[in-house]
Amino acid sequence: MNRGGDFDEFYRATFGRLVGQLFFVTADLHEAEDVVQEAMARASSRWSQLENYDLPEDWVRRVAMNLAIDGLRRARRRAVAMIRLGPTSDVPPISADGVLVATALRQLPLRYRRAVVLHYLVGLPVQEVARELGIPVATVKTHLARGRRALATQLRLDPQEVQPKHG
Amino acid sequence: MDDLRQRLTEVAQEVADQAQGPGPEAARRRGRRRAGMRTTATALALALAVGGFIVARGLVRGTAETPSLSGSARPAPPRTVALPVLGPLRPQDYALDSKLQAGGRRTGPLEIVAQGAKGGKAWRIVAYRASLKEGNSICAFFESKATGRTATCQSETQGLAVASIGHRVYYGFVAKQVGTVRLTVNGATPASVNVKPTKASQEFPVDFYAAFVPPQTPSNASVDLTTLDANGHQLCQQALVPAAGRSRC
Repeated sequence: MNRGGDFDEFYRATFGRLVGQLFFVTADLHEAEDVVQEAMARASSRWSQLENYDLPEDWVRRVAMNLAIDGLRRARRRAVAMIRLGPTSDVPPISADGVLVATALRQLPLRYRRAVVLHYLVGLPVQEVARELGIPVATVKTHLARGRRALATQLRLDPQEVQPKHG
Repeated sequence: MDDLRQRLTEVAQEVADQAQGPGPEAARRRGRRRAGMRTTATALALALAVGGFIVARGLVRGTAETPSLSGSARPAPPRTVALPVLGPLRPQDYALDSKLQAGGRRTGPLEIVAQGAKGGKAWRIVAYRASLKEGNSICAFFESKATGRTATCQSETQGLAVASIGHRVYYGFVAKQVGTVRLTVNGATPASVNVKPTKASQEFPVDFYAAFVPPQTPSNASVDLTTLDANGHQLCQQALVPAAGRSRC
């Protein structure tokens, strides 16, 4: 298969999964789609290198995550102006449970969200989350614990059910 | 799997199922557009940086000393190096500037390849062969009690034409078949200066020259370099920028 074909296959296999993961960072479906598409565009232009990686998906996720964070920071700066116009209608067209989770995520600081996504969704051990985010392992554990606690409250989970399983 | 992990996974799967990307072809188009913009931006930034450097260098040196003339090469400007001049040939006085010639090394002996006197002041050209990143090169130092010392290195496959401090003298090297080097200075009297290159030793594949322009020549005058063979036939002609380095002649 040619390189274009390889990229197409990679795109189709990973786009949805990455959007699902990035949704927990952006808390907005369209924003998640956009950052993943942008990361895919960057991947396409260096696919000859990335296709030799063990997991090109990791590279795309990292880029998308950085783009999402940049976007959120820009959005935060705009928030003061936007607040006078009322809330934006960016509730994703998903189930009631999805809306509930998205709403809960919006309450979480960004740094907690990233740790939660990488650990719970991507399945990275705490040490790898720390390496990915460039922060100490202890900080990751703190972020996970606080994120879990906040989400448990928001989602009305039994706190005993969400005890850490750090690996 | 605990409840939180399960809830998150279920929502992520739901979002993934609903995600509608524009498709891989759209991603590739966007990637190509980005790459094009990046190339354009890089070229623009480089042009601005080079332009800024040239302007800054002109400001530092003083614009009166570095007039801008078009249509000439300016790759290897000469450097003014510290005195002493015209003293004994001590290798340490002619060492390559490590910052400008990183990795370069002298590969031949120091030689006085041309010398004379002008206006009662002695001058000489000291040269040696060197290995630089550009390849086999020749480093030449013009020294004069009147102007101090100027140095530059140039690939030996190129010619060299360098104006010394104040642009009152041009020096450099030319191919061995050159019999005469002629400098034509617009606005000067006389309008042209002819010099015969000094035959250098077998150590060098080129010969060296120094040509003094009339003292009243404006510092922004345009100067043409012409080389002639032993029979007076023109070999090459080139407009020079004062302080230029590489010469096609």
